[in-house]
Amino acid sequence: MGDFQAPYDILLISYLIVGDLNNARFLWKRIPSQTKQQNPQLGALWSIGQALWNENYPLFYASVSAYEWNVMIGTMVSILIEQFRQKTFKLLSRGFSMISTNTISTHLGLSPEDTLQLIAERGWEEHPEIEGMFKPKPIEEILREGSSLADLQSLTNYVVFLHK
Amino acid sequence: MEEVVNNVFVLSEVDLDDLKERLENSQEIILRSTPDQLEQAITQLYLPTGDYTLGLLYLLSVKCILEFDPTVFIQQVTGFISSANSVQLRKAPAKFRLLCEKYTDICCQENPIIAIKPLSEAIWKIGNPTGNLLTPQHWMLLKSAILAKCYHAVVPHLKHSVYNIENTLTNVESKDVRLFYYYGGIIFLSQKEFRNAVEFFRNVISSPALVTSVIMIEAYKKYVLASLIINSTTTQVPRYASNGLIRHVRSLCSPYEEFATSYRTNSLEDLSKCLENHSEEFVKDGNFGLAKQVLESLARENIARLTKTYLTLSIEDIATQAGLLDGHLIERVLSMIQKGQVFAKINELDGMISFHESTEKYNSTTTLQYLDKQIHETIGLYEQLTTIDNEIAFSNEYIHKILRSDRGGSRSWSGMDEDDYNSSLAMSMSGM
Repeated sequence: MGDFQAPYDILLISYLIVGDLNNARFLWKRIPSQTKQQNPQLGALWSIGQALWNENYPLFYASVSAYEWNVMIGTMVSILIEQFRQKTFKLLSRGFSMISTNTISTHLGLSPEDTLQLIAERGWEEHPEIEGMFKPKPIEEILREGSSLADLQSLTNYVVFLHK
Repeated sequence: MEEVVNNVFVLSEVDLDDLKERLENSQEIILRSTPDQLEQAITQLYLPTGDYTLGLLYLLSVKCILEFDPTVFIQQVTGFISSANSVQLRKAPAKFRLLCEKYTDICCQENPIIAIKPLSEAIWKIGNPTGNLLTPQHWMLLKSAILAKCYHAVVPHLKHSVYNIENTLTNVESKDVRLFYYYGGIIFLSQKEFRNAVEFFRNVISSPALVTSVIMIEAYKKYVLASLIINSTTTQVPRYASNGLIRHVRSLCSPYEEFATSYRTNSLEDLSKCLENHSEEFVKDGNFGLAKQVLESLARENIARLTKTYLTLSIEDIATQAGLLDGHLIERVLSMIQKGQVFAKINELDGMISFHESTEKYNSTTTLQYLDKQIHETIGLYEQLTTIDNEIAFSNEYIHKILRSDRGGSRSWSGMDEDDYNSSLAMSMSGM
C-alpha cells in the first residue's frame, strides 16, 4: 500500500467549513482508530466538529485555539472561524431585538473591548438607560435581479411545452 | 476443464447462447476440478477488455459455493466487474446476481468500503443506459455503503428515479425491491432527509405481499419514527397497502405504537418516560438515535406551535408551556431561528420573545431558480409518463384486451373488429 495517508484532516475541516456536520460525523466514525491515534490533530479537529454539532459557542472558540495546527490546516481553521463569526453575527442581528454585550461576546468569541468596538462599527444603538444592552441593526439583503439568455430559453421551452 | 476453457475461447466471439448452454452443462466439471485448475482457468480467462466475461462469470460463481480465500476472491471479482462486458453479463443475470451477493457478503465482513465502487459499476453494466432499471445490485450497493458509513456516496442512486423492472435482464425479485427501499430509507435518514425516508419506507410497507416479512416490520418501525420527526399528524399507511398485513405488523411493533401515541399528547415528559421504558427494545432495533431525534422534534414543535397562539411570550412561559426543563431556551430558540423553523426576536432586556411572520417575500432570484427547477422536473416527469403510456397503448396485450372486451360487448360490430385490429396493428408498427 505504501505511504499514502488519506487526507482525513483536510476532508474533515472542509466538511466543517461547508457546514455539513452530518457527513463530518460519519467521516469521523469511518477513520480507522489507528489513524486517529497517530494523528492527534484529527482529534483536535473533531473537537471543533463536536462543538459545532452541539451548537456550543464557547466550546467552539476554545477548541479552535486549543491546538497548534500545521500550516495548511491552520489556514483553513482561520477561514472557519471567520466564516462562523460572520454567520453568527447575522444570526444575532436577526434574532435579537435587544441583546447584552455578554451574549455577543460569548457567541462571537471576542473580548469585551473587541465586542464594543465591533458594535460601534456596525452602528448598533445602545439602550438609553441600561448599560450594556444594544439594539441590533438588521442587515439588508441585496436582491440580485436580472435574467439571462438561458432564462429566456427556459421560458420559450415552457411555452412550447404548454402548447402541446 | 480444458474443454470448458477452450469452449469459452472459441465461442465467446461467435455464439453466446451456445456457449451459455455448454457452460450450464459443464458446471459439474467445474465443481469437481481442483482449486489449482480453477485458479488457472480464471487467470487464463481474465482480460481487461472483458472478452470472456460469460465464461469467467460461470467459473467465479461456481467458486462461490466452494471454500476460497476471501482476499483473492475480492480481488478477482473487483477486477471482473470493472472489465465485464454488458452484453455477455446479460446472458446470465442470475449467476451475476449470485456472484454479487456473495461478493457483498464477503466484503461486508472484511471492509465494506471496497464494494462500493464495483457495485456501482455493476449497476450500470447490468442495467440499461438511462439507468432507470432496478437491479439486485442496487440494494447490495446500499448495504455496503451503510456498513461502510459512506452514506453520501450513494445518494445520487437514490435521487435518480428508478422505476423500471426487467426480470429477464437483471433477475430482480420482489425481495430486491423491498430491500432497495428499506436501505434507501436508512440512507436518507442518515442525511436527515426525513420526507424522502418516509416515502421510501412507505413503499416497503405498501408493497404487494401475501405475508409479512422481516423487512416490512423493520421498515414499519422506522416509518413510524421518521414520520413523527417530520410531524405528520398521522402515521397512516396508504390505502393500497394490505390491511391485514399492516394489522399484523402493528401488533408486532407495540412499543413504537405506544411511542407514537405518546408523541401526540404533546407532552415532552410523557414522551421521555415512554422512551426510557422502551429503550431496550429501541436499542436492540438500532432505532434509539432515531427515537431521541423524535424527542427533539417534539420540543421544537411545541415551541413552534406557540407562535400560532402568542405574539410575545416570556422565556419562562415558553419553557413551561413547551414542557422544557433545561435552562438553555435562548440557545434553542436561536438555533430554531437559524434553521428557519421559527421566526422570532429575542429581547434580553425584559426576557421576552416576540414571534412574527416569515419575512420571505419570494421575490428573489433563489425563488426563481427553485421554481425553474421544479417546472423542469415536472416537464421531465410528464414526458416520462407519456412514453410509458404510449408503450402500453401500443403493446399487443393491451390491444388484444381492448378488442376482446369490445368483441364481448357488441357482436354486431364484429365486422369492424378486423379493421380495428388491423389499424391498431398498423399504429403499433409505425409507432415502434
